[in-house]
Amino acid sequence: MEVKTKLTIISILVSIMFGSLYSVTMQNVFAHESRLYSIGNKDYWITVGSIGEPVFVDDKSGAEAFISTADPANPLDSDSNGTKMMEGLEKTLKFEISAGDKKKVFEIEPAWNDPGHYEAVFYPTVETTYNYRLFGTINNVSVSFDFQCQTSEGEGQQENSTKQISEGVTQKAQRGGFGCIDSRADVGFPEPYVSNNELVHMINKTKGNSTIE
Amino acid sequence: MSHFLFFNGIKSSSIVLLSLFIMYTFLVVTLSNTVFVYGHAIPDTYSLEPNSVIEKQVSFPTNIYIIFSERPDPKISYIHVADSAGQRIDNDDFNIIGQNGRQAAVTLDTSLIRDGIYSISWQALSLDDGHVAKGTYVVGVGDLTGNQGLPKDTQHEEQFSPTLAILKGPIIIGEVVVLGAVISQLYLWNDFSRLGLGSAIHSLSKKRILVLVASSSIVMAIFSTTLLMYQAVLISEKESNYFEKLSELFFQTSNGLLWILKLVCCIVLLSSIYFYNKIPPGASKNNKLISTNGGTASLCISLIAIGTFIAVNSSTSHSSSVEGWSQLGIVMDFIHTAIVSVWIGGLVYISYVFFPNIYRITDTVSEKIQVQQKEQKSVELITLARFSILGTISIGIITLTGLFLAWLHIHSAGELIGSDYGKTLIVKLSIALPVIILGAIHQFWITRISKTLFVKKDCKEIQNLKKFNLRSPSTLKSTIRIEAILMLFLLSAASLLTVTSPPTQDKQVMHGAMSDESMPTGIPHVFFQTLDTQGVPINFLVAPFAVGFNNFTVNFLNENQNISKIVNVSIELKKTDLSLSTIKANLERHNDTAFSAYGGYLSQEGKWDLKITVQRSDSYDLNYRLGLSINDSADIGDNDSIKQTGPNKSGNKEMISEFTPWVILLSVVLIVMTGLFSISAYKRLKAIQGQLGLQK
Repeated sequence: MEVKTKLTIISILVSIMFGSLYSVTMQNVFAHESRLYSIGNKDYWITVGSIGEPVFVDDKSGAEAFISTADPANPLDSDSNGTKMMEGLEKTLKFEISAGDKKKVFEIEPAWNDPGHYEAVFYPTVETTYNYRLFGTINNVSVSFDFQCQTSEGEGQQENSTKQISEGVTQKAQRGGFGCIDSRADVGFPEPYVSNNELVHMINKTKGNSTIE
Repeated sequence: MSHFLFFNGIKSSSIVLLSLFIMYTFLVVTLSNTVFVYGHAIPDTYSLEPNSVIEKQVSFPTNIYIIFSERPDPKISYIHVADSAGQRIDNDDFNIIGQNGRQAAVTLDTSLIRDGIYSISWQALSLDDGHVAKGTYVVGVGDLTGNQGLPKDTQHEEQFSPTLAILKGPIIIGEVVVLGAVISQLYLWNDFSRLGLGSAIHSLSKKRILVLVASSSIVMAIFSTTLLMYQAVLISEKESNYFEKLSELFFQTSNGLLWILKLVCCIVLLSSIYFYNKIPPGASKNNKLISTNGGTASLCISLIAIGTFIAVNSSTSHSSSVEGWSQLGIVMDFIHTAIVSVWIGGLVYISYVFFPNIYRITDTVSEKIQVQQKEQKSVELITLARFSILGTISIGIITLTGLFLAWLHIHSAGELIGSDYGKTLIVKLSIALPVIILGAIHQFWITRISKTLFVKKDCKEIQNLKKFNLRSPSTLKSTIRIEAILMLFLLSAASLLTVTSPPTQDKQVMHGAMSDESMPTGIPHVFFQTLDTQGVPINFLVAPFAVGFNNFTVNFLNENQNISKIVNVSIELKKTDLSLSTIKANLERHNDTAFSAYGGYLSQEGKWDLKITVQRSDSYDLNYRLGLSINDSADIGDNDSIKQTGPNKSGNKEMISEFTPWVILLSVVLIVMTGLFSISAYKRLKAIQGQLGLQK
């Protein structure tokens, strides 16, 4: 094998290495909201947040969920060795994304090579509060969980109180929270960023003014 | 061999890369197997709670610690403590203390601690999930007045308090009863005094007058004192400093002096009414009801005392704070309250003093007036006819002054319907309306009774009035009592009004921010700006606009139709130079249109970026951004969605009520109607006096 070929192979390996490492480590610094539910007499950890936080308007993002069965020996510890990621839930669960008075249902897809991780990709176009409703069935029990992003970043609730959500579904614990979609106004550089939605409004306004004139 | 060639060909660099690859593989495997916690290392417990104020420098702790929800990495995490100039006062010795690894602390250089406010910035990299969280909170020490912002208790923050209304209610009822009783006693018996029966009637009524005035004076004194003590409770942050705050309230504000004045008035009232009661019947030389040496003097002293009491209350009413109209506002408030007292108190007097004594009074006067009118109706008639003049003029003046006060405080239909003050006023007027209607019915009855009494028996009209005439006295008593009860509800509504902030008062605070020149000395600098995004304007106010503890107020303009759907309002403050982490606060809802938060937010001099987020249930969030410069005047951020509507331009316009033409028209109509009705009532009285032989 020629040196040139060897270097090419090594370059590809290094690229893959850093690329994968980046994607894995990025997942780890996200802020998400985790809740422990008892669904049909079985405990589940459901963690929901936005893909690729922090997310800015017009970024490619979406809602994502990590679903695992809790460790029966230590259900309150989502990090316990006995937790098992749940696969195949894309068939029974969906995300309904709502913002303002708009709602839309998205199919969820399993993330590649990441069992128990499900995604519903969308492009947030407005800086506002987003609500992710995960609904469908888990363990043959109908579920509907609302997760709302927080305008106060990094201040998630930490509580272990038990509350009945619906028939056969009880929430036992809650951890953390996830931030809302940020405007690019603060980070647009060197020229201020104008979102697509703002552009549309400006154009419509200009059209309106022209018509009046 | 080929492997050897491979490694041989690329020499040592390939070995490094291979090592990296192995490390990568290990890392990927490790991270992939990690079940993410997705929490943060955020503060669970603070050694000094955010926005706490320590009274003395010596009490300031020598270290600051925070217990985080997860274990902070000491290599990356920090706690910085900086004064308002940005100078660090911590020893930069962030350290994990305690056994669970979640408690972190820094020690402070106590020699650098002065009176002022301190920003505590923290950053925590969680050892549990690798997430970095950061934030800032503010604490104060010592005297925070002056440029450091005012402590909460000394700010002009008026909040609706039902307890205050409950405490003010008896005071208002007391002053009404006393003034009404004194005026009625001085005025109503003039006709019989001319017949030389004054002393006799005086002796019949003085016991009940004593009960009315004395009990009301005691109630006024007790509730005025309780009010002062309750105000001290309101401004005390904790039980331990209650007496300190009470002392401040008493000695350092006008509340103490006003309380003393009220108490003196009550004591004078009690003394004068005691002496009035002690004057024996017939003590006066000319045998009139009220001699200049005794009864009149006592009642006049009572009149001055209760007048002073009402004036003191008026001086602290909403009207006293109306910009440019405060003097006239106080005078109008005083006249309004005094005349209301004459009217309502007069009705109480008739119900409680006159009616129970009517038979004895009738017996007393029966020898002096014509034989055919020797019945209680005659006495009742002349008294009510005399009172009706008082009532007619009173209602006219009350309506006129009430119109003026409403015009002063409410400038638009939106304010009338949308504000708490406007709603309470509507309730008050709704109660007043049946009272006025009952008053009109009484006028009608007095006319009818006078006709049945004084027309000749063969007159046809008497036959028509016979049925009505027979049942009139008892019915009249009942309706007057109903009127008096309605009046009590009216006074309760009035007491609610005294503790409800008029909509114009909020605007005035904002107008205070127009310019430094327009600001009276001693009033803290405030920042006001109208912001607009997505076509939803808000009035934004920071008071005081100085480094320290600030009150942030967001007011939604009434014309905004989405106000009811507001879920939450929050603010985020960042130093533009990023020397502090973000300071955040959720604003508390006060009513449908006003939200506010109080705390140490503008903790350092310099430029700040502010974001106000309004979450709505069925609409997109409203995000307002602006830049604030704490040294100079505020400047607007670059955000195109923000526009400034200069308060200077719109301010004066806002102070002009849209009701002005209606108020002028109504006032003219009222003056004419009051004049006509008063003349009619006067003529009726003269006619009755003529029939009873009571004319001079």
